[in-house]
Amino acid sequence: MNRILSFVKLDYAALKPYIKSIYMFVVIVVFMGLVNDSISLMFTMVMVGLPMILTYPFAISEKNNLDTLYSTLSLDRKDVVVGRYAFVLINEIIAILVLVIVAIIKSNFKPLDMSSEELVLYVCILSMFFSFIVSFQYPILFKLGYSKAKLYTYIPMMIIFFLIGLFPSIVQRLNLNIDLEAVGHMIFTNLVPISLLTFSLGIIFLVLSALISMKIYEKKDI
Amino acid sequence: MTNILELSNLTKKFDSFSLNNVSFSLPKGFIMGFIGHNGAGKTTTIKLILDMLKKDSGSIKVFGKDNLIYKNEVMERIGVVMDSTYFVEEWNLADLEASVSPFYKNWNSKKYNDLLDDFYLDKSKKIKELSRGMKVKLMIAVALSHDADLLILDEPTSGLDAVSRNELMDILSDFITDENKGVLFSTHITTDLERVADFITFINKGEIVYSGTREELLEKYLVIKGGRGVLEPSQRELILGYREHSVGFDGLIEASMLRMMPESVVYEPCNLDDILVRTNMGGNSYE
Amino acid sequence: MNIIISNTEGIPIYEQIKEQIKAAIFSGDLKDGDLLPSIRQLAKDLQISVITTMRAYNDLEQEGFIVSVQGKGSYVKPKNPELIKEKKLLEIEEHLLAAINASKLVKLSQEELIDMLKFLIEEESND
Repeated sequence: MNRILSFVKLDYAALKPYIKSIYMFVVIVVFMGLVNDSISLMFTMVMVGLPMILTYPFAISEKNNLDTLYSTLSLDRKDVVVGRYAFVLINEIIAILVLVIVAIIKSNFKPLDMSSEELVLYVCILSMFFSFIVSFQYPILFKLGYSKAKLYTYIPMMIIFFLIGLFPSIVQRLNLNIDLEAVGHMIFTNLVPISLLTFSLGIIFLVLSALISMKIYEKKDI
Repeated sequence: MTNILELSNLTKKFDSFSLNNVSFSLPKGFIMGFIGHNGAGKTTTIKLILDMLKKDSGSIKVFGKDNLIYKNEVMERIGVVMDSTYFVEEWNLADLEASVSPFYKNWNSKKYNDLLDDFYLDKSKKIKELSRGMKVKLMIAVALSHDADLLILDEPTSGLDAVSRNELMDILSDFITDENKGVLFSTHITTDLERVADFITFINKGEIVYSGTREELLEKYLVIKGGRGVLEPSQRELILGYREHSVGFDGLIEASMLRMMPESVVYEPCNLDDILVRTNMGGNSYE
Repeated sequence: MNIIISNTEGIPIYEQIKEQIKAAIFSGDLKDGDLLPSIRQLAKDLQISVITTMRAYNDLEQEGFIVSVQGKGSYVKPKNPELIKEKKLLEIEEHLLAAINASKLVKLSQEELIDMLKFLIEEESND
């Protein structure tokens, strides 16, 4: 456990080259959230920015031969993987907290353009979204390294936007007779279980992905 | 534990190269030079010891313990120096300490800072601002700050000037005054090892061709020179790396074969480079 | 005691160390029971390998000049005058035999050889 925590700290320390841009990103996100009429802009920015930030450890690792550093330290290969996923989890939680806190602060000045229940739902969907993206990207990043995996890292985002974009037309084509209004109603009347479900799904994605990454990294020649 | 490092039948196959049945041991209290041409397998062997590469078969024991089963225990006591740094370039030397020290039970902060002073390394400087020689000294400072018992260095001196190389040898000499410590030092610059190495292991094309004391190796061969046409064919065969030129010949000969040579030949002690160049050990043969 | 080694002479380094320590013992620079520098410290000071100094010390111990105590170091062994004389006599014998063999190669006669010896002894005492 100690080693894993030390590794997470190391990952944070390794972000030093990007620290300025990350701070700026956070400042802009918060600023936008407070200033803008709708908080969805803030959500969108985090949606795009966080997955990018979560690939930085791999970029830095590759540029600075950190895989070699990990090998010289008393660190198991699986500690590296678990530590990296812990890093992901911590950053997701921080991102969510920032969003929620900004929303709360803002609601003191202006009524929000969504209810608190909707906020919770969006936050859970967001976390599932991040978890899905990371779960897809990380095993590929562990296997190929940042520069070779970079192209593949765009795939999960594309999948999600595709699905979201095409969802209505798929429903139409297949004549699925899904009453979207009814679905929407069901969701909003069952917010708590749905939120929990989406959040848990995200965790499951991450755990499965971590297991795959562990297998991959265990065998990797550095 | 008498051997600080013990490799047995280590094998690792790649597409275009393979390490075959590499076996050698380093007794504690000594410095071993690990020599061979570029591409002979030195770095591969060292990476296998550090579990950076996964072996196909064979065993690696460090401090008498299997290097994989006891990996964390073993790595705490090993200090590593490579030919290029593996730290975040943006870090300064204090960032570096903060990042790696949590992984070592025996991290000695005072020693790290004293070493940085000794090496004239400014703590506030970023790693990317250091010269190559300073980077090597930095890796040594880190390696020596957690009470490591085994130092493994992979080509640390390539690209360093003579002064820096000499300083490195002094540091290693000082390190080995403790008879419970050991050093494995890979290089293709044999002059570094001429004075300070106790043992030499020669690797060529993925196989060990010699492992023993440096003295024994140097006493085994002699440089031999003579005039043209002085040798019979049977005598010429005994000479390794035979080279004939317009005013004579030269080569290397096993000391035990000297008596088969004519009286007119001149002989003198050889050095590691002679052996590397003239024998198959070096991978090239003049034949 | 000073030990100065030369890298360019043909004599192996461990031999040079042995000779200089023996010389120091004979001249009285090193007295009976004196502690010699540790093998590792000597290697570090002279910038040579540990195995080289180890070999020198092992040989010296075998030849009876020093004695090594586990955990403490190496000391000058008290001199046994008989032993030393015996050793020196053997050495003289060897050198003389070598001279005799060399003289045979150039077909020097016994008288010429003895004359040479007398001449050299006189030269030595005149210096």
